Amino acid sequence: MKKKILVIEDNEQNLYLIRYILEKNGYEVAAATDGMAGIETAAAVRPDLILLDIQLPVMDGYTVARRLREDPRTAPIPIVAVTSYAMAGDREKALASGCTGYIEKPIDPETFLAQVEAHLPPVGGGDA
Amino acid sequence: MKAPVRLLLFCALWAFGVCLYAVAPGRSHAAPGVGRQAQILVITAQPFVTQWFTTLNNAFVEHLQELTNRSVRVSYEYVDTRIYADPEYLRLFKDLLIRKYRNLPLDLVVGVMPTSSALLLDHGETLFPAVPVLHLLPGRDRLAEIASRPGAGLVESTSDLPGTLERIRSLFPETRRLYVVSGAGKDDEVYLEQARAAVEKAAWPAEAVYLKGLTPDELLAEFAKTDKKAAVLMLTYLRDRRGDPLTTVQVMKAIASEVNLPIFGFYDTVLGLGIVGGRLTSAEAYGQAAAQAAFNMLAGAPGRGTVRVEAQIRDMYDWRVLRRFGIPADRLPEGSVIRYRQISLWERYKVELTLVALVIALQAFLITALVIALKRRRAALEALEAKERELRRANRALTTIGRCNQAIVKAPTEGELLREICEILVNTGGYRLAWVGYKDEETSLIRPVAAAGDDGVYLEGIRVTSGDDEHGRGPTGTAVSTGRPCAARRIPTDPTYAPWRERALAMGFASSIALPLSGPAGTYGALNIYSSEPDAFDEGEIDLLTELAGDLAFAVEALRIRDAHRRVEEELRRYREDLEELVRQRTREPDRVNRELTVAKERAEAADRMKSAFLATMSHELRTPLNSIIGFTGILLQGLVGPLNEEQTKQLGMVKSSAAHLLALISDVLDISKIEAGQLTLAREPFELRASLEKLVQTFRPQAQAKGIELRLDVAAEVGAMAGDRRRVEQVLINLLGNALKFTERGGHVTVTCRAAPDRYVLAVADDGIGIRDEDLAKIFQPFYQVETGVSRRYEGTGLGLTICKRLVDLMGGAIEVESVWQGGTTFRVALPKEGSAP
Repeated sequence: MKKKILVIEDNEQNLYLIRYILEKNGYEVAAATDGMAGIETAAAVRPDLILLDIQLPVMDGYTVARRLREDPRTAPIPIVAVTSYAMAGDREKALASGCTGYIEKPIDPETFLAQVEAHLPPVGGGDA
Repeated sequence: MKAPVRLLLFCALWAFGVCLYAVAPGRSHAAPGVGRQAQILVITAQPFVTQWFTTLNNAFVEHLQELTNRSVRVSYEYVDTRIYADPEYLRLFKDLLIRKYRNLPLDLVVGVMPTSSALLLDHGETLFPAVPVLHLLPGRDRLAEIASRPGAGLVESTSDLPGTLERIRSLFPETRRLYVVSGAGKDDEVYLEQARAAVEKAAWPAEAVYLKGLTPDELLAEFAKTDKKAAVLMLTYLRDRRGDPLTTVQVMKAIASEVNLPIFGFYDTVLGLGIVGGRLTSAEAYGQAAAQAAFNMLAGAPGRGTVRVEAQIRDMYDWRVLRRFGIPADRLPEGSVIRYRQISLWERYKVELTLVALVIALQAFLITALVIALKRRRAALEALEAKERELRRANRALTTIGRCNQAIVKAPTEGELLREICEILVNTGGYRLAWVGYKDEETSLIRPVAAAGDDGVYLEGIRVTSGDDEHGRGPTGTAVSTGRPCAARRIPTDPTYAPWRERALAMGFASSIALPLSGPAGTYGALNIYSSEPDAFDEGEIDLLTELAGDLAFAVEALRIRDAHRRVEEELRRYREDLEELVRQRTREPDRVNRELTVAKERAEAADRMKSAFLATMSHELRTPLNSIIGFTGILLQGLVGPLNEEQTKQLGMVKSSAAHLLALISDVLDISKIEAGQLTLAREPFELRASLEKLVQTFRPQAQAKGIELRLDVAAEVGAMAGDRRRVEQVLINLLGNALKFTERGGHVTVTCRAAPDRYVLAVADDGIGIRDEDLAKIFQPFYQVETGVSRRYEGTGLGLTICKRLVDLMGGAIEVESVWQGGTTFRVALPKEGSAP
C-alpha cells in the first residue's frame, strides 16, 4: 500500500512540483490549498505525513499545525513545515506549534525526497 | 587612679604626717608645787664642792621637790676640812652660822662629807637647836654616834668592790696585775681595805699593787713600770700621802690621757674622765636617796630612830672607753648604764627622723604622682588638642575640597575656575596664598594666571621658571618640570628657596607646596599654596591637594574641550544662519520651504518604515517563483520527466545556476538589510561545532573534487559543543569556504582548521589561491567590494558575503580577520565565543 502524504500549499506551481516529485517516487498525494481544507482532509484521509506551507491565506501554517495536534485523529501524524521564512526563530516557531520537521524553500529536487523520507515513520504493517 | 582621688589621698597622708610629727617630740611639763616652802640648810665641806657634790645636790633638790610637790628653799654653807685644826676659825664659823640662821626657821640641816657631819654632831645642838640633821657621807668612825642620835638621818654610802672586781675579771680576763689606787685620807683607807679583802677573796688577779695617796705623777711613774697585762681600780681620794687634799676627779683628770690601762672606778662622777666604769656608787642615786630621807624626815615626826637610806649601786660604763678597749656592749652585765654614747642625730631622733623621712618620702611620692598625673593629663590634653586640630584641619580640608569640587562643576570659564579655586583655598582652606601659574612654552617662564591672598604684592616681584636654573628649582618649577608635587617644608632653611626667601618671609610664609597641572600634552602649570605654619603639608594633605590639582586639571581640560566645541558650534551656527539667510533671500518663501522640508522628512521616515516590510515581502515574493524555476529545472535535470539531450541538459544547468545565484543575492540583500536595520536576531542554542564543520566540508567536497582542489578538515580534539546560532555560524563558514574554493586554482589546497581556546573557538579557512593585494585587504569587508572591482566577471558571487560574515561575527561577539599574500593565498580566521553572545 502506497504511503499517503498530504500537501497543504496555496501556490499551485509549488503544489504541482511537490506532488510531481512525490508521485514520481511512489507516494500517494492528497492536497489542500488552504488551512481549513488541510485540517479537514487530514482528519478524513489520515495521511502518513503532512507537508505544510507556513505562509497560507486565511489561516497560517502555525495555527494549522496546532489544530492538527489538538485533534486526536491527526495528532500522531508527523508534520513537516515547508517555508521560505528562513529567519532565526522560524524553525523554533514551527517546532513549537507542533511540526516535527522543517524544509526550507526553495526545494531542491535532488535533496527534497531524502528530507521528506527522514520524517516518515518507520515502515510497519504495510506491504512495503 | 583619677587625679581627684590622688589629691584627696595626698592631703590625708599629709595631715596624718604632720600630726605624728607634732605629737612625737611632745614633752609634758609638771606644774610646780605650791605651798609653804621647806627651809633646808646644806653644809658641805671644802674643797669637795666637786662634780660629785653638784650631781648629788641637783638630784637631791630636784627629787625632794618632786616628792614634796612644793618648792624647797635650800641654803648652802661651806666648811673647810681643816676647821678643826684652827679653833679660832671654828669659833668664828659657828658664830657666823648662829648669827646667820638665828632668825631663819630651818626645817632640816644636811651635813655632807665627814667634816660637815662631824661639825653637826659636835655642835649641832648649839648651832641649830631642835632642827633634825641628815648626815650624808659621814665619816665612818661617827656612824655609831649618828645612829644613837634621836631624829638624825643617815644615808649610807655603800660600795660593791667585789662586784667591780668581778667586772674587771669578766671584761679583761687576761689581767695579771691590778693597781688599787686610793687616797690617804681616813675614809680612803676604808675602801682600800675593802678592795684588798675583795681581791684576796676572789684570789684574782695574780698580783695586786696597792698605791695609797700617790700624786698623779707618782701614779704615772708607777704605771709606766708595768710589763704585764694590768688594770687599775681607782678608789676614793680625799688626801694624798702628805695630807694635802686631793680628789679622785683631780687625779683622773691628770692621768687619764697618759694611762693606757683600763681604769675602773668607785663613784659615778668619775665616769667620763677616762675610766671604763664598774659597779659605781652613783651620786645621782645617792642624791635621790638623800631626798627620800629628807622627805621622810620632813613628813614624819622626827622622834625616834634614824632614817637610813641606802644609795643605789649601778653598773655604769663609758661607751667611749669601752670602744677604745674593743669591748662590745653585749658583754656588759644586764641593766648596765652606758654613758657618753656618741649617739648620732639619727639614733637620737630615730623615730622622729623616720617619721619625717616617711612623711617627706610620702610627700615626694605624692608630689611625683601628682606631677606625673598632671603631665599625663597635660599630654592627654595636648593629644586631644592635636587631634582636634587635626580634625579641624581635616574638616577644613574636606570643606575646601567640597567647595573646590562645586567650583569645578559650576565654573563657567577656565579663568574663573582657577580664580575661584585659589579663593577657596585661601578663604576656606586657611592658606595664606594660592596661585596658579602656566608655563610659557617658549621662555619656560611660569606666569601667574590666577591668585588669591596676594593682591599682587608677592607675585608681582618674583620670577619663577621651569628651567634648569636657580629660579626653576623651587617647588613650582620642580612641580612643572617633573609633573610631581613638590613642597618647601621650611622656607627659612630650604636651600632651593633662596631666590624668593626674603620676600616670602616678609609675607609670613613658612612653607609652601606646588602641585602640577597636567593635561594630555604634559604638565603645563602648577597650583601653588603657601602656609604661615612651618611644615604645614602632611602626607594626607598632600594627597588631598594632589587630587584637587588633578581634578582641577581635568576640569580645565573639559572646559577647553567644551570651549573648542562651542567655537565649532558657533561657526556652524553662523554658517547655518548665513545659509538660511541665503535660502531666505533666494526663495523669499520660508514657509513653503519649511512645509516642503516637513513633508520630505515624513516621506523619508515612511520610506524607512516601508523598507523593512518591502524587503521581507520581496524575499518571499522573489523566492516563490524561484522555487518553481529551481524545482522544475531540477526535475528536468533529474530526468524524472524524460531523458534530455546534451544541449538541453547544458542549458537547463545554466538556468539552474543563474536561479541559484539570484536566490543567493536575494538572501544576502535581505540579510544585509536586516542587519543594518538592527532587525536580525541571533538564536542561541547549543550545538556541536564539530558536527557542523564535518557536514559543511562534506557538502563542499564534490565541488572541490570537481575543481581538483584538495579540501582538508583539521579539528582539534577539544572542539565540541558551543551555544549560538548554528545556521548563522554555518552561513559564515559557507561563505568563507565558498570563497576559498572560488579563488583557488585547480590543484590548490583549502584547509579548514578549528582550535579551542578557553572561552572561544578559532576557525581558520586557508587557501593557497590568488590572494588579496595589500591595498585591498582593508576593503574586502565593504559591501559589493568584489562587484565594484569587477572581479565578478571572473568569479561569480554577490559581493556581499564577506560583509555579511563580518556583521554576523560581530553580532555573535566574535572577531574575523584576514591575512593574505598576493598570489600566495589567503587565510580567514574567525574567533567565536563558546557561549555565544547574548541574543
